[in-house]
Amino acid sequence: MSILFLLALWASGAEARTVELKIYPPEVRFHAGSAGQKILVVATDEEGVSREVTAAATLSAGALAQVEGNRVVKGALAGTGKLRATFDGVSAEAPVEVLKPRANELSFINDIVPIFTRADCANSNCHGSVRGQKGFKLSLFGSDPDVDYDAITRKADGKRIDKANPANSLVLRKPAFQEPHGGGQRFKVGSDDYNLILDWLKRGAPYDAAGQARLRTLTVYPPDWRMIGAGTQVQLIAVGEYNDGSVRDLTNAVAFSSNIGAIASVKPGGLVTAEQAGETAIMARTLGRAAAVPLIVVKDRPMKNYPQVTENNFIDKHVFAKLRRTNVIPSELSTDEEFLRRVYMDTVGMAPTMEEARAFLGAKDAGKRAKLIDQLLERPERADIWSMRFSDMYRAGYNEAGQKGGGAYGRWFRDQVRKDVPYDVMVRNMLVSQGRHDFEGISNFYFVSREITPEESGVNVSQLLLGLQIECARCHNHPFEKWKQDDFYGFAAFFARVSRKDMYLNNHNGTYLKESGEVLHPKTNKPVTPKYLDGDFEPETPGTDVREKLAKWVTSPQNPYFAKATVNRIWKFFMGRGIVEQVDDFRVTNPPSNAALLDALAQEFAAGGYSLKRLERAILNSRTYQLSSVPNETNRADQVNYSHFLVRRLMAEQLVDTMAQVTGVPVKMATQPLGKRAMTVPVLNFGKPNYMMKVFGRNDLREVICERDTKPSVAQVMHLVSGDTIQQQITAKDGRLDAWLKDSRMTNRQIVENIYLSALTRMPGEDEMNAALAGVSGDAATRRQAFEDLLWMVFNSKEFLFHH
Amino acid sequence: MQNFDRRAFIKVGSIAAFQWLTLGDALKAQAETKKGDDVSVIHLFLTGGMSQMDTFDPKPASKPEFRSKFSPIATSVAGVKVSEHLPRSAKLAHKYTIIRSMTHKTPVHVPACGLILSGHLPLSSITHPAVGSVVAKELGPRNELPAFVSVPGSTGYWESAGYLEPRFNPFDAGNPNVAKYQVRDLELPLGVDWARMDRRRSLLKLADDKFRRYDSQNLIENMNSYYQTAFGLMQSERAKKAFLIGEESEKLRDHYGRTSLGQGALLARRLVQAGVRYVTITRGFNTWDHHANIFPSLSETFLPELDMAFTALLEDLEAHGMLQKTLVIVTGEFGRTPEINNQAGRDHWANAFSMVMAGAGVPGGQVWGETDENGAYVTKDPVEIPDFTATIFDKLGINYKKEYVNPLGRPTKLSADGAKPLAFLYS
Repeated sequence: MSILFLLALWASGAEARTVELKIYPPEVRFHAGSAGQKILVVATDEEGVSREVTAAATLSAGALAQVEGNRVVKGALAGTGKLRATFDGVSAEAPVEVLKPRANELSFINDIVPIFTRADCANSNCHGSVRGQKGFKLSLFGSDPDVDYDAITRKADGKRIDKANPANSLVLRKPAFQEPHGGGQRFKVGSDDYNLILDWLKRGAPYDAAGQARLRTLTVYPPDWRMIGAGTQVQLIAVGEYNDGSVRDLTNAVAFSSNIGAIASVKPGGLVTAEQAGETAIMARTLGRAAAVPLIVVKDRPMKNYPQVTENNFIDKHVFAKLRRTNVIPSELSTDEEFLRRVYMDTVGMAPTMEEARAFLGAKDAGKRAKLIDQLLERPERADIWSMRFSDMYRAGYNEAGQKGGGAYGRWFRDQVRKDVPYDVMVRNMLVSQGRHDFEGISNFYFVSREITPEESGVNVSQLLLGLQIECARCHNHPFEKWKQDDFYGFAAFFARVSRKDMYLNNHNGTYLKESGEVLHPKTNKPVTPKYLDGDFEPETPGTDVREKLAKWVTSPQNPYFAKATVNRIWKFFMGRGIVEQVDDFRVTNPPSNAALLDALAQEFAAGGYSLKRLERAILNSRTYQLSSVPNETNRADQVNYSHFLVRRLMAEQLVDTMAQVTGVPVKMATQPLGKRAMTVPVLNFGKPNYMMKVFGRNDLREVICERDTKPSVAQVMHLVSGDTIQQQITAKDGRLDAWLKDSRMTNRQIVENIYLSALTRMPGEDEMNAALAGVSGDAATRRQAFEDLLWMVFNSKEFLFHH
Repeated sequence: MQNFDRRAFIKVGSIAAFQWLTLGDALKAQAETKKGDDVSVIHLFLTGGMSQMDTFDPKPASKPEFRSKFSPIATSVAGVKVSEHLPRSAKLAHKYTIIRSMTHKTPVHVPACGLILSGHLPLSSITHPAVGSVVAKELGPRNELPAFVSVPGSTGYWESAGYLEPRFNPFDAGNPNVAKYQVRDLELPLGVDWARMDRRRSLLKLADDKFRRYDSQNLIENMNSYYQTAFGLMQSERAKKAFLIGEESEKLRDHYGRTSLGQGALLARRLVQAGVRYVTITRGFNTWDHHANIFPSLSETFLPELDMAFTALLEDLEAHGMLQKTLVIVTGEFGRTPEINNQAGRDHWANAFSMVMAGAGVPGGQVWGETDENGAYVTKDPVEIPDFTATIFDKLGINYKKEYVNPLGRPTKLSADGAKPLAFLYS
């Protein structure tokens, strides 16, 4: 079916019948006599379109509670009841719990601190920045009330408050703009915020008594949302739960912000307006907590005649559901040629040979793709490309130990992949590894910096294995997340005894466990007890290795990060983009582009015993992986939902090895025997195996965020144009080109076909054939030159250089 | 659909403006000349760490066991002395400023190189862009020559665009102190002339045009812009000429010294003359790391080499009328310990070290700052690295307070927070 035809079938916009009604929050809880709880009523129609209908719905809360302005439920007496909503003939119910009245005391932490977050004083560009602003430094988004109390009442000789004349306090006069203030007016004299702070000052600016209830969770409703058409709106509500069991409606207390304001904007109080098609997320923040609502803005209602797209497996189900929700149609299935090249590059690390290509393209079997995938997954080269991926990821050979350590590490990865050792087992073994770096590859796990320090190990483990960036918290609490310095050093403390030593003589580096060791907190200078991220303390008992407990915690099915972080990385190897991007930046405020897909992949990975091969097979067999990269009218702009295969530069190794295969002329790798494939040469930081590898971005492996640099450079292009790698590839004698030229049965046409098929995995078009043959003349030298030019062109072509 | 990712989003905000910038656009942007736009930088980067006591901050009265084997000699500026192995520099002391009070807290090569070259201490997850890369980004190339060149080449990731686009990486010029010096891949391979290359390019255009339908991200256009830049450079007579160091007289080449540093300095002058904005010259990473036998190494090799390269460069720039518009910097990433170790060497020392600057309005004949009698600690007018980089930015007309958002999402000023240009480096 043609795309244009489909576009014509887009729905007219007539409203469809309501089939489902939902109330948010799903359980309405508030304290008797309090301001109550805002609610949302959401109607979903038969086309799957949801909209907020709170104002239009008929609401009743029975005898227990009242519904004020069709928006807020409140009540004077404790008890339980039901809220009933009816709209368009459909009803929904939510339980209502009116809790006992909460003590009505003014709390610095829960009432005053949030004001500075919501009024945008405590964000990272202003007083919440690491350095504060003009000498006044608040904790970021109210994450540390102690710091805020100190800053407001004590710092700068206490000049910010005036207990004798509270209204004269700088902490009021500045934000009310009664004094010059770089940040302008944050609230007006007499506003609720102003009065609350004034009230607190009048009471003597007290700090809260010990045991003050603290915010435990912040939840925003609806949990995700799609808006149809610019200008449409939706109200969000925020609910806080405190550690004493109390609750509050925080809709007016949190700071709302949009990740991409150009797509949807949000006003204080949570009213969201769609601006233009795209995806963003709305954040809510207060008291160091954050919640996010993923938001889709589409132009039109769902297409009526959205095509039926075949789903090969669970991956497709989730990918196509998201595409449908965003009015995007996936691209066509890739051609056999495109698929063949792609899957060879991803599994064997090279294009197929001519013979392999002819065999596959000639086969008529309907199930030939799945069969090919099964064959490729058993190829020995598959372990080489995985070894390279892991070497990149784990920075094998980072150090001066370089070749020895990196080589051993790469061999260890290769061996693990060949045996299909479950990934959780690999990781547990790496976490408890020790030994000489050149003998025991696995022991290089901790050797990613000049020295092995607990802090570096903590950064490394959290980022690589859990997808969490906690390094900010080394110096200050994390700007977007809950990680504090205590978390950072608590995690680092697991590695307090992990150390490097020169074993035996020089250059025999090793990782070993010291008899004792501790991590000191930079503020208190006291030893820190190991503490799981977001978890409990784990003191090390004498005679044990606390890393063993950590290894269990990391790879436990209950660990919320490990499986997701891992499948996200693996997904990216094949699909070019993580579902969470960057792959090591999982956080509430950076939601996945497809949460259901990420969950399903993680579940499949765990259920499959953490087998890389099994997950790889599922990805390669999905229609999503096999979609063409040629975009259609609906999906050209999509770069995050996998509507078409993402074109990207191939790795240096894939390019070099394919060139050598095409020409039969090996590319020399430093210190390696001639003919050794680039994909099998250990990654080294100090010295690249050859210049092509250097300019095509083989990693320096220094950064924990270590992904291949696939960006172009002038040196790269100059090397492609006139460098010795391609020059040698195309001019060297006695390669395949000479064999073809000497073969009297071989026509010029056939040589052109061979070059196209072996380098680009397809036959030339007639125009390409004519252009190629135009330069070929009878004279042997000129004839060779013409084919050299053709090879040069092929190796410089974007079709060759880019994965597609 | 737009993507969610904060960092990518930030990149769109802060970096994409340059992403598709072609040479033509860059040249257009250059049409409006700003203050400092005509200033260039040549940095003789003595990686490994230059000993302050044995060069520009002699300490004849230090403890005997610390004392340099070299004697101080008088210079063209009354009261100012330098090492006896810098005789030509001594004669030109009225042309430069010696800062004897450089200080930082990182006596480890790699992070200290990062600090000196970028103005920021590196984090393990972030590489800050070198000043030269920021210059390339902010000011763009002056013509078909690259804005930022390293001679012989970048010493490592600390001398790179870091988290900026790779197009701002330094262009590696190679070592000009070899017979038949040429820039890698700048010339067409043997047997290929431009007529043949044009045939190849027309074949290539056919293929790339055909492939375009696969590309929803403008990757081909982007890569092709690099092809244009590369061909522009390869076909540029100006660029070719700039790299033809053999055009210089044997006498001048000898005067610079037949060393990689000397010929690098001469090449730098030619490159700046041709339009390059920022040149870093080293004799290779970490070569000045004199943990052993420091005195013969310095007196026989390193100091004569530096003395020749530095003074020839100053004289040559002046002879070409370029010194007023070229900032010359001589420094390593730190100094060396006053204490002489048991291998007759000096170890890493960042508490106090010396830097020499000249040109681009830097006053001549000035000594700034003092160290104690051993050269160990700064006793007067300490100078921090971020102030040094802020000065470079300022002299080039770049707002040193400008913020980039680094990959951790943190806004980072070009020179670390609180930095400001050093007033004493302006005349």
